[in-house]
Amino acid sequence: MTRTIRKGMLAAACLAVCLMLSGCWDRTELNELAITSATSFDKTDKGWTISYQVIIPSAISSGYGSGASGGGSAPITVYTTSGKTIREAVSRSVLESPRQLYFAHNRVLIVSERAARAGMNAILDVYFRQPEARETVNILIAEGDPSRMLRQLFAMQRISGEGLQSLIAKESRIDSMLPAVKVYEFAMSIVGDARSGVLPEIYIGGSPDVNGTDQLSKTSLTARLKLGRLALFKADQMVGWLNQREALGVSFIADRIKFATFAFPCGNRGQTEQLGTFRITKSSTKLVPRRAGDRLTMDVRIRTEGALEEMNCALDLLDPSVLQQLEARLKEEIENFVDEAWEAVRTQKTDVLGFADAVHRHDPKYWKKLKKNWDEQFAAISMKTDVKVKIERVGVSTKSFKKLEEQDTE
Amino acid sequence: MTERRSTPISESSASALEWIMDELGHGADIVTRAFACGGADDQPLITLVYIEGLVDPMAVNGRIVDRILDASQTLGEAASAPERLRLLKEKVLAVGGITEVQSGEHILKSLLEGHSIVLAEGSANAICANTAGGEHRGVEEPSSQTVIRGPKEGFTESIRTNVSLIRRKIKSPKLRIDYKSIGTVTQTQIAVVYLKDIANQKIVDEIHERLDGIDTDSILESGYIEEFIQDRTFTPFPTLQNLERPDAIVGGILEGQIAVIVDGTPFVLLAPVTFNRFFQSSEDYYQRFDIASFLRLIRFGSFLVSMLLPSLYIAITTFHQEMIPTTLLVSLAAQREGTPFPAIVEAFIMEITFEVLREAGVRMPRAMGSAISIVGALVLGQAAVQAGLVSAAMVIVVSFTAIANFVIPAINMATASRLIRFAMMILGGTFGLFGVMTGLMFLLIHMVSLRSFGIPFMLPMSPLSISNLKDVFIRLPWWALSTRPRLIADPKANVRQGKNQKPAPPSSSAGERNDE
Repeated sequence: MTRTIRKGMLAAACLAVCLMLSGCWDRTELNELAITSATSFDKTDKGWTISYQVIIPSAISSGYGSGASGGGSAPITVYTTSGKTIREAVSRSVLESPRQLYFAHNRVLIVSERAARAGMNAILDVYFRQPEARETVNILIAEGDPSRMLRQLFAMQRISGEGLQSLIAKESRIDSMLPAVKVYEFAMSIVGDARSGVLPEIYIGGSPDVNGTDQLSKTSLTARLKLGRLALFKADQMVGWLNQREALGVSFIADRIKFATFAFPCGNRGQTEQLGTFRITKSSTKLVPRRAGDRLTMDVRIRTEGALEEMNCALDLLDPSVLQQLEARLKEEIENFVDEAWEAVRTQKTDVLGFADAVHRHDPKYWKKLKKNWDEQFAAISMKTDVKVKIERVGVSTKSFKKLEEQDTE
Repeated sequence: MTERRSTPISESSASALEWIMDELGHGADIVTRAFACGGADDQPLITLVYIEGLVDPMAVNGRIVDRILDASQTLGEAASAPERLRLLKEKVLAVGGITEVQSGEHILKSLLEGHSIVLAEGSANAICANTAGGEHRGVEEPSSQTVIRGPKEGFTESIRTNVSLIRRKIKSPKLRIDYKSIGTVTQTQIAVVYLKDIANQKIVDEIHERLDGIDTDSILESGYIEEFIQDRTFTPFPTLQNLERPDAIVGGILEGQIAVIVDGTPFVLLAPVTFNRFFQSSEDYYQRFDIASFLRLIRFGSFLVSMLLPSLYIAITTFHQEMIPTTLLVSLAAQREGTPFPAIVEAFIMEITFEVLREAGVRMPRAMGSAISIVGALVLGQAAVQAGLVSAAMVIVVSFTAIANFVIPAINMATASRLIRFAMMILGGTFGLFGVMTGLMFLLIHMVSLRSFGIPFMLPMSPLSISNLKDVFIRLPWWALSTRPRLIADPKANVRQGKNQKPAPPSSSAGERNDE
């Protein structure tokens, strides 16, 4: 009996010692954390300048329930530190932040155009090396000083980082023009066969910047964060911009269309003043490379379905031939998008369309030969588009309102 | 145990009575009544002794005193003392339980059990008439194990009533009730109740053996017995069930379990018992099987919540903040602003406060009950948060934990989770989720090693018994429960009801057939 008691006490003592040795070594209370919701990277001649958008929890929580979000203290605060390397700059934050910066809830990463043109390798390396940093963070590119974006407030989203993320996530889901690219996706695309990638741009439209809660009390903000162009990357370096029309074309070729809405001329060929709106609900693209000697041809087969959302031409939509006519006009419009995008990326010699993967899959042996100077080969490809559009629905009203009006006057 | 002495009864009633009175210390509640029956006044032929309060006065007056007075003529004319004794036994005393005893110790024991002793002058034997009765609580609704649907009767403090409540439910000659008395001073009556050929005889023998091995002076409640006969003492988990409901006990007996009734308490023990039994309420079998299954899952979930919620909260908020959705994290962080203590200390303060409140609620006179609930709600809930002592989220965590604890039907299992909770909180506060998982691992290993009278504690899960699982996490409809749980009941008495008991409408009605 005494032996078992002695044994038990010994075991308990061992456990207690363990507790003292290791106890609580990485314990951090919630009120010791500076929760970062967005980070920005800028590169100057001296090194990196990094800004952090830190959430102020008490400022956010106090707004709960009460409708007025204006006034009071700002829900976020922005720190900026510099250093020769990224992590050195981050570690300098202890000199000015009373709390430990915590990056696990970081939502977006904004990189300045300068830094992007210099190369993304350093940023990606930090993200993959740090256990705390999440690779599911969205990357955005900003022209000029990226920390300006961090200071900007949203009218409806208290946490601006979260707002930025939902802005780009929602856009890529509903309109497919600019893709929401996460760190790991970007890294995968620039080390893939094509060695290229795309990132969406964020900019501030209007002035002055909304970076105080007093400005939020107005019904219309003086400036807003907006998504702009699409940045093209060759390897880890940014090489240029695509406008939104070209970006939509890229989405068509790269089979990234989930939903998209665009206007198209619905009248007779050549007439461009009368427009209709088409909403794509389903679209798929197939890339079929064909090889004739040293010439490479790429067949781009696009199959699209959708609904008419708006119709300003006086047409009888019950007539199948009218629908066929409209489908032909839609086809032309999509071909325009695709051609414009193709021209843009061809001049940049940047394969963001997924051609490299298609060739590799189609003819692995041939790909090995092409691989060495793919950029040149890519620019030399002749592309053939084969677009089929199907209007699945015309909405609840079969005739355009204009048509109804004409009937009445007759 | 003290050696059994045997003192012969003096043939002289007066000296026998003197001996009894000496042994019992001339207690004021000992009633003696002498019947002269024609004999000399100072030497009555018949003497009656009983202890007031332990006997049923109606029985003593009507069945013994009245009858002896009526028959005093006949008794006085009896030829000899043994003849008188025989007459008393056969003709006079209108009591069911009558025994003739020879030893003084036996007389004392019978007196203390509420029997009436009839001494006859000149005889070395005495008659014990069972007139046990007296005041005790009637059958009422159980106070600690209530149900919505089901019998409303509960056990009482009287072992006789309790046995009869079981007998009334099982009208089978196979029902065995083995009495024994334990406790050298209290001589508490214990009854081991089981169904022969359905209960596993080995387990019955084991229970008898363990009960016989108890050498103590007193048994005041079944808890004493439980601690003497359970398989393992150093465990937070109970390995015997205690129930206040006859229907639950009978349900167990019919599954091959064995009940131990202790005189003086309405809590009857049931063994052998497995982990899942503590999450079953007898109501599960009376309600529809779907809701019963759902409620069982809720109970298992509540057990986990009651054991783990505070530790998980501490672990996640202090070690794994990346696991919390951002919005929740921000709101939790906002609540933690300005709270002075680390989460673990905060949780301990709140948990201890709650335990104090709960204990106060149990001990307090009922009239003050509402006072404490007001103080408790205000102090624990509102004031502590407003004063910035604890965060609101912690109050929610602690109160949900407390509520979840009350869901578990067996109070002894609920207390197990209460104790484990504190250990888990320390582990969660020092090692994070890693610590909580390690704790759970140790707990699981410990639970698998437990036995209840040789039956593995985690029975249907480990060792896995698919057929037993029909009535563990979910309850299948009654017609599907055709066999008794494996290992617990006698293997030969496996089948409980016929197969193909599933109700179904008639395959085709008579009317349709006529139409063809």
